[in-house]
Amino acid sequence: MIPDRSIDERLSAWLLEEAPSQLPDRVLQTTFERTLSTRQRRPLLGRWSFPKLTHRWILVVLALIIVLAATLLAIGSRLPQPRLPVSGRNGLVAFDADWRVFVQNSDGTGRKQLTAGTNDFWPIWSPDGTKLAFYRTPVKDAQPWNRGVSIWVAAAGDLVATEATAGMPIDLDEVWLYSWAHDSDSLAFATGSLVSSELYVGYADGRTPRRILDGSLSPREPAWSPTGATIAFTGGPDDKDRGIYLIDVDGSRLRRLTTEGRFVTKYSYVTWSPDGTRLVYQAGDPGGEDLWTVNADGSGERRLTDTPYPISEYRPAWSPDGTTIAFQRIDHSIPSTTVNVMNADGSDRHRVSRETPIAQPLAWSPDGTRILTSACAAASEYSCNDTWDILILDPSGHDQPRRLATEPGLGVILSWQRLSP
Amino acid sequence: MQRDVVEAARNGDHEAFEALAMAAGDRLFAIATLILRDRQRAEDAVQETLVHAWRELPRLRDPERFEAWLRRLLVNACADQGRYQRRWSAEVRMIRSEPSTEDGATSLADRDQLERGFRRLKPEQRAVVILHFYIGLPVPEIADTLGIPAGTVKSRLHYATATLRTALEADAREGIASNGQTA
Repeated sequence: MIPDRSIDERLSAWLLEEAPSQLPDRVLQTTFERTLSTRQRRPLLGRWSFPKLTHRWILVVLALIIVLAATLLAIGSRLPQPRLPVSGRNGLVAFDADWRVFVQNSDGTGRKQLTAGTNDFWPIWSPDGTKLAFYRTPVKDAQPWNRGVSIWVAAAGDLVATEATAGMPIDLDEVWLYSWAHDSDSLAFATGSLVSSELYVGYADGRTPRRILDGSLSPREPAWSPTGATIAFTGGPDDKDRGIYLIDVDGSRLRRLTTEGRFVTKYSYVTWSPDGTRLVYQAGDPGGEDLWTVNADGSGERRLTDTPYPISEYRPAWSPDGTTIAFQRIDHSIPSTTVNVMNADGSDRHRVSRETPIAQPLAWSPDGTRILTSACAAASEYSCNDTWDILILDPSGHDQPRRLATEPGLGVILSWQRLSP
Repeated sequence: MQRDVVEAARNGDHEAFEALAMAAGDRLFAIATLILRDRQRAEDAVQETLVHAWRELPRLRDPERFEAWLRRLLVNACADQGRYQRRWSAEVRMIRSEPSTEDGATSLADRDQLERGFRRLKPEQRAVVILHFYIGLPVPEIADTLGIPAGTVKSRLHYATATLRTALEADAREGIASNGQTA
């Protein structure tokens, strides 16, 4: 038995030896460049103290709230909400658990492992629902586990997968989202490190991938336009100047979509509206991110949420009919995450899930009636204990969340297969 | 003295803020590196902490609490770094510190054992361990820094040392067993 005192002393000595002695100067330089261009957030009320509550004050405030609510309702009801016809039926749910890819019916039956792989993660269905792509790592038990990952594609119901990144293992510090093309034959993906990455198009039939953008903008999190010829991504010449960019699939017409100074973090991502006319993305200092939309031609940039640190809105997902956006809202001070839904113009925000310390990205059902997500089944304060509930949520918030499964070692991505009507 | 500087920074004096940041930078970096076990991520966490601190300083009511407030921002920033990772524990990478020598305060075997034991701790346990054993904060100050009850701090410390003891004892038994086989 080792006495506590011995452990305390050994631990203190080890921590002292392990701790680096000096913060690199460049970190402070970059920090000061950022703070010099960042406005301090002043308390709204300053030193003003709230007036003593009297019946008269309460009546005045209530009257103002009623007038404001009535005005907002009247404005909201007049705004046209573009709606796309729902063109898909709900198929199988795909997820990874313990480095295996599984598919399952949305009523909880029919769970089966898709391929024999034991190093696979992050499955995403193709838009037509006929193929499933996923990452495969050669070194799941080594550090870093995501070095040299590759993307594979399996036909639905087929145990045999084809490597879409054959001959070019993807070297990643992070694992970034990849994106299917609308024709379900190609995928956009990024390779590289936190410092520099490149953008490629790969093919489901295993043809050699094609580079469409070098590392000058360090592109990440590509999102293929649902109408075809354009890929959106987050990137920038350096970490202080990241934004949303568009590039045509042939590598031409690179253009920046978002205003300079709109701080798009290394962890932001962007998604398209189903009709391909607009994009939604998260921006702001980490810990205080808000959601923004912008038209595909760069016009009409608009802030949908405006909450101060420590509240962030992030991971937006557009509903299949284009009328609403689901997103996550995290309070970093607790931390607590909830799933919320709002109209595509930012109105009528409402919560559709319970609070959980950590939740994962969202996937709409193809018919637009449900949202798929996962949340910690057993959570500690800052991390999940690797047991996750897969949940199906009602976007209206009326029905209680339904637990589809509980999985140990669940991955991040959940994907819902779209079947033709 | 520091109160005056904090108040100046709170009122928008950027030079005062730079002085505070330079004074705190090394310590914040050390804490973040120990929690995250990754220098690149630790640099990011420190940078985000300081940017948040600058933005939110006008809302800090009591300048005397600046240090504790900054540490809390840092621990939250470390949690944010982890939030984006697929698996917190799987993502952390082995960082090799300076070449170790047997005449240091900690032996090579101790380092490896402590490293392995430390990796078994959850991030919030690591934060408590580092604030207590590295920064030297007493339990009430850790509770104040992290915004959690003192009882929770005590239980985390207890659990963390128990986990480390178990890991060290297991390693010691393996060492004895393998030595026995070799012999």
